[in-house]
Amino acid sequence: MKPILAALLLISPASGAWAAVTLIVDQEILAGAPSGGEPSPGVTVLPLETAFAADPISRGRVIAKMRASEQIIAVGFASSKFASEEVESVPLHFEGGLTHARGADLKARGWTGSAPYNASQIMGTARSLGFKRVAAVYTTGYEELLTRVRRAARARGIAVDPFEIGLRRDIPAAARAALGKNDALMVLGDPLLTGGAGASFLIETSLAVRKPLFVPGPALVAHGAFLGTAPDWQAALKRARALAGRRTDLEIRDAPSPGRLVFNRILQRKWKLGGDGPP
Amino acid sequence: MRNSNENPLRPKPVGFRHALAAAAVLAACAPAATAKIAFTGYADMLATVDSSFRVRGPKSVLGTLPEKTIISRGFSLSRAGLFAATELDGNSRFLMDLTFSGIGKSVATTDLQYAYWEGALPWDLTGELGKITLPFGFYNRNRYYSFRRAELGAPFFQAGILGLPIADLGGALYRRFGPADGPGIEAAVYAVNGYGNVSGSSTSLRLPTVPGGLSLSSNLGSGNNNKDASFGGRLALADPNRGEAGVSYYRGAWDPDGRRMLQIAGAHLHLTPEKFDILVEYVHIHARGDEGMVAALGDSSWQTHGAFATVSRPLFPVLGRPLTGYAIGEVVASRRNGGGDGKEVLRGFGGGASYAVHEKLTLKADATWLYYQMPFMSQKALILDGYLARLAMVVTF
Repeated sequence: MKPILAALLLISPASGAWAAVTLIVDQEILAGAPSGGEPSPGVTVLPLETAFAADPISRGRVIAKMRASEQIIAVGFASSKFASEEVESVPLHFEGGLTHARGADLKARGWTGSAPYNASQIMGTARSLGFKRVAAVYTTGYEELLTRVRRAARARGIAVDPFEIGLRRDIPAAARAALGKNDALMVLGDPLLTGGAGASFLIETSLAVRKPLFVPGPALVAHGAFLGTAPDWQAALKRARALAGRRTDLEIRDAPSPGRLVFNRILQRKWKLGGDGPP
Repeated sequence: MRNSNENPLRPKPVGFRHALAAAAVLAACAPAATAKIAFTGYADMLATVDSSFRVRGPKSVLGTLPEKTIISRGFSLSRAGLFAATELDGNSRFLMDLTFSGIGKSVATTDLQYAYWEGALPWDLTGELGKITLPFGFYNRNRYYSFRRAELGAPFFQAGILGLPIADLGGALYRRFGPADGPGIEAAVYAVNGYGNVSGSSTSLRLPTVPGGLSLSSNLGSGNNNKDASFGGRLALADPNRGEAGVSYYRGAWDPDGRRMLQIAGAHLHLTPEKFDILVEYVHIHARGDEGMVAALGDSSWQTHGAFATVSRPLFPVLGRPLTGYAIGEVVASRRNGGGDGKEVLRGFGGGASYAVHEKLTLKADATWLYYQMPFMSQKALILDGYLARLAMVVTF
């Protein structure tokens, strides 16, 4: 074995200096994309398959590829979750899946990206439902997104009441206070608020006080949230391809273009909000 | 030829020194500026709920093992493995699997299942160099690991006698003709050290002893036992959405003189209609000059014909996740070239279910019946038959 391994040492490169951008994309988004022709030089597109997480060999290969990159752009909810969990020191940009990143990581690691939802679209819907005051729960790191939501709300005559969450134990008090004095509650992002016990508590409180909960993605709508957004992933993929290798335009923002709003039809009927759908 | 001195029914242990050397190379291969190694892994926890096997055979073969029914139950951490991967540059990487098995107070076996450089080469070729998993059949590269299959156990002949994974030192070249996401032809060729003789007998490829040298897996040593490499290839028509059909071949001399030949041919068909996953694999072994099997089969030239099939399908959801049912069956027979009375026979049938609690934890249960017979020219045959019921938990991380 030794001679072969010695040969490997000889053929391995002397330095790791190469320009590499990794685009990690959910397989189903890539499958629905029109053929993009030849990939840009220095850009590697990695498809993330559904069964991927259960296969440590494939996962290890992708993690190694990502960690050796100079920049990673994630497109899709699964890819955003995967990248946010496995990458630490590489600049990471979430195109459409920003809300899977912990606010603390956005702040500490300088990660950027866009949320699944378009703030103007959400606030337009809130206005059409007759809401005047919307509470927003967020974590440290999501301030820039809050600014955009506030701006979109102000343009439609809606007041935003912000509640910053530091720790999981802050959620119950914040949720009760936010829903007590506002017409609806909007979750800006962070797995602390969109998954696990945090999300469950927000949903339960919303249902208990019969006030709508706006969540970033569509998944929680099936569990009792009132409204979520299914982003236009093909548009996100197009933006991601354009952004690959450019560091200048990267920021934290809402979705540049509106997505498809997903309503909880049962709650709509029960609470008599918006009839069969939003105007 | 250097052969393993360990139990031939077990995969060959590589040893801590070799593992350490490979790990050192892995670290050294990663360029300093980007020396980032991704570690992932798995563990198989096994509970034998009930196992009952009747053993019959000549005393000279059984040795201290009495003729009786052996009943066993118990728990084991059957294996735990660590995968390491590092990118060397944009086009090549080094990959390694260190697997621990026979885990108790200490680890009985440490296997370097694979450790190789992989890289993109001109003409759309992909190359592998090091200890590679041979591109032979479908099961060997795609189903060996428990987290890559629905079944709890692998086919007995494939796992216990031919050896899984079939991995050896050498190199391989791969090329796909056609789009990655559509129908295409996958071609692979390889050159490796190849199978050698069993430990202690330069004229035996297999020995009909218990637990002894029935397995070929231990004949894959750390060096070549003769001056010639062994060659082979695999050709498959593959469609990621439908399955694949292919043929495989291996050829190499196994003795120190390089005169006694071993050939293995295989054919496989993997289909995924609707929600089914169906795999049928056939293997043919042709060995010459194997003095070790003369006492059993009556000739030093013998051949094996065998096949196995696995079928799995999600049955119904439990707590939102599918419960997958599966069945597995295999029939293998070996006899001397030209036919004869003595015939080595292996038959195994089983079924069970697999349930993914979440993406990194899978529970499996199965029941398997096995019959194995090894003939002897001047004595009664060695027969092992019985059943086993098992539960397993597969964790990936």
